[in-house]
Amino acid sequence: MEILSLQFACFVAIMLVAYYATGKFAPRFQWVVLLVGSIVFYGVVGTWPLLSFMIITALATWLGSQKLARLSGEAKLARKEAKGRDAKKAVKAQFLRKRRIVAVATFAVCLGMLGYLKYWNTILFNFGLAKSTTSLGIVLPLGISFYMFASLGYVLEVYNEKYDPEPSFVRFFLFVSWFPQVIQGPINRYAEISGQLFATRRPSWVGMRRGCLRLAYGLFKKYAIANVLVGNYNAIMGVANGSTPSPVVVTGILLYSFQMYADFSGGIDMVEGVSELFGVEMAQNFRQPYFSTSLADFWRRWHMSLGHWMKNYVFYPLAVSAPMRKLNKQATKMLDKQIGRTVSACVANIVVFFVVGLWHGAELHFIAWGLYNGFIIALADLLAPSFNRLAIALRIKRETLGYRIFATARTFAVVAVGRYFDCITSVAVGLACLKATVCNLTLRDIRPDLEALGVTSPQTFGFEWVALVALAVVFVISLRYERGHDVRAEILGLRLPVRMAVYLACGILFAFSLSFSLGQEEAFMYANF
Amino acid sequence: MDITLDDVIEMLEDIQEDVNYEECTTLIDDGVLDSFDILAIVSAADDEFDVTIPAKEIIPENFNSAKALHALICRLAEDE
Repeated sequence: MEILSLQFACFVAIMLVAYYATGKFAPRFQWVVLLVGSIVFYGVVGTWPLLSFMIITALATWLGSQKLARLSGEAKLARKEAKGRDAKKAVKAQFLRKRRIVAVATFAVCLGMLGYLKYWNTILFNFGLAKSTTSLGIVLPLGISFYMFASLGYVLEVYNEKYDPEPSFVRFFLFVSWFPQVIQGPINRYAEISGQLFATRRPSWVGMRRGCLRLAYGLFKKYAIANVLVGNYNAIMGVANGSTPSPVVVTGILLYSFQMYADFSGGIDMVEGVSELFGVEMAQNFRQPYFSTSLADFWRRWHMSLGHWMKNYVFYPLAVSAPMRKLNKQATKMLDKQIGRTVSACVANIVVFFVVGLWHGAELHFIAWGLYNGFIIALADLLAPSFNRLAIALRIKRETLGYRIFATARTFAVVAVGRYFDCITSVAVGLACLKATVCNLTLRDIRPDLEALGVTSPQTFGFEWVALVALAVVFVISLRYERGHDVRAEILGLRLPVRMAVYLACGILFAFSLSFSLGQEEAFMYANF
Repeated sequence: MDITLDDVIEMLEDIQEDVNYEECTTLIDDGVLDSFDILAIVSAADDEFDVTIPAKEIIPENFNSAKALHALICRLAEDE
């Protein structure tokens, strides 16, 4: 069931009617419609047998969190009864140990399952024990990395006693299976979404219109940019190797940068829009990432829900752990205070991006891509005082528009270098292409090369005019969001003839772009994670 | 040792000056303090007050104002 399909439109329409009708006649059971719809969606799109992995994940995390909460309650009672400070401390330590065992066991079940489904075949292949990364025929369940990380985040929040766990498994299962999030995220947090999922509500005309607009914007990005560019990107990067002329590789990387953004953020806009039709606002996943002024800033704006997860559950726990505090103190003593305070964050960032790379897959190029990001961010943090001194010495005014544009372009280039290890599946080929780009970037007419590779619009370097116009539209909208405007409210507030003209112009562009999607799989890149 | 609000503000000023810590209640929400500053605060609380701030306490509500941070440090000092 594709998002732009009659089946999906009918599915959402039936769910909306059922949801709001239930809200009128039996509001207590309104959430049940969302649950039933989500299960049916997963059964049809993700297949019924693979639903079992989602049930196992939900069951393990639900049982684990129930046990954690029970132990917390028992610990409080036991501490109250214990006499003296030392006895209270001993009780605390005893229950902490028990709680840790439960949390580790829950993680072991979930990550063990994810490890087998997502990594086992690739690991065997890397050690020469499998013919290919798919030779074992293990099928990766739809959205497993997203719903599993959301569930594990929930366990950690309960472990940290942020809130009481959900007593009903059936209700908890709605949080895990909520259908818009299983296609390609975002990774929702229970505390932020549960109240919305279980609320009773009447249809909101404004909410519906906003949801439809976001859905349409996502479709526009996906069809008028991502699907238009993907063919040319594949034509170039599918055969790229060390001897491919470097300007051709750079063109391929540029195509990928825009195609990937439109595919992922467009897909997220679509599912967020669908979710908003039911009054549920999911976690934000993008905030104009290509306006970032540093790589760290980029990662605060790109795939934000994964970033939040990593920050809360990997970065901080590691950076403030006892060994890291010790490392900080040693670095302060041996080097200086600034480095001492930075070093734990640098190490934690490298670990975080290693995990981010691993989250994308066990292939070496993902690990290389993750580590590249981690090391660049760590280096930038360590060198920040030197850069500040240099800026003062050279009288560079960082608050000017000129500097902002320079910093944005520099960040785009730094991100693009990382893409060599993201979209090229061999680290050796990625390095060879990068070396050729850095050492041998010549400005010459590459249009004949592009034509020879089968690129359909060599005159505009693979960027079809439809995509160029659509990119310009996305740029203008992004710029307004960046300046703090609520673009959806602005569009919905336009006078009717003007609004219709905007819709018509975008609709015509969209219709033109559909010819590029004919015969293509509409799958989203991030649906494979 | 009694930890006062002024002590906490002094510590914060050492990490990032030119911020009105007495008034501001959106230090995290408005991006006045970033993750580096938070780690610096955790490290400084350890150095200056002998208080360990665990990762689970690193939430915006505890770092949005000097007052909230002071309350957190006092609570943790009492627990220890």
